[in-house]
Amino acid sequence: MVARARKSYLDDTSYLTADFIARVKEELERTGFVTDEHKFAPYRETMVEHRDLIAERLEQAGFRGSVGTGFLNGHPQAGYAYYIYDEGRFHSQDALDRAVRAWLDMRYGVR
Amino acid sequence: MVSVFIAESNAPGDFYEGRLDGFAANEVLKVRRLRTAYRAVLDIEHLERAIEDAADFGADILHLSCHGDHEGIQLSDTTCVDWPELAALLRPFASADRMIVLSACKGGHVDFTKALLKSGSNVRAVFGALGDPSFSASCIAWSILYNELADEGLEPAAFQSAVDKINHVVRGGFVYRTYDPQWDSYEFYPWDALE
Repeated sequence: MVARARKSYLDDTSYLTADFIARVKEELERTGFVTDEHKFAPYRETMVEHRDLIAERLEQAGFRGSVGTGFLNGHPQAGYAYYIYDEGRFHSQDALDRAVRAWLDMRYGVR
Repeated sequence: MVSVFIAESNAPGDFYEGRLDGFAANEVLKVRRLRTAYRAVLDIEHLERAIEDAADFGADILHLSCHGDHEGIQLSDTTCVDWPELAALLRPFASADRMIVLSACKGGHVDFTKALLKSGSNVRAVFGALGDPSFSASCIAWSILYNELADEGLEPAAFQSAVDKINHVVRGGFVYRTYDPQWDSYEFYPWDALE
């Protein structure tokens, strides 16, 4: 017998503060994506599941891009990363994957 | 001297039939004359109490024995505790010199340490399995770990040696993850372990 999935964290939207949205906006404008590995980001797929809410708040905060969602697997240290990104920023999925992977390498110090 | 606080929250049938790897680990610790405490934890109220008691006990290691999967753990009364909830519950015990042995299926899952990072409940290291070890595999694994720590102390070389020996003897994909405050992340060993 194993534990049943509950995912209580997906019900929590308290992280959607003005400060959080400002940091997401800054990061989307700077690098084009925000992963669950960013220190200010919530756990696992929370941002991906709340994409519409985040996009709405970003628009209210003056963000001009379009928010997409993604998932990258097989990183040697992080294991995986869920992320949101600016759809107009990358010319291909490959370019986006490389950018996220490079950021994860930096995050983990490429040890 | 290594000190270990064991909280056992296996299923009622496990208690009835004596499939209790936490109990087995406690016997090993007593044989090695290490400082140990053993508690049966049947619900979340007693899990909270056990975590606080482990901190008060001054345990180096909190050994939590229960069922689990990639989402979290399950207590004796079938309460499911997902990784973020468990990480939050562990806050009273969390510190840079303490460790957690999570004796459960998927107890070494990356999402557990990701949840520890998000909640700020970081510990020095977490030991667990990537797979689904059997009851006997768990008993053997933790016997090896605690014998190694009794001989060598709470040193990284002892952690590596123990996990190497465990994976040589039993199936389950045992790993440990150590917190690196410089990078605010957990490194895992063995480095070639599949996630």
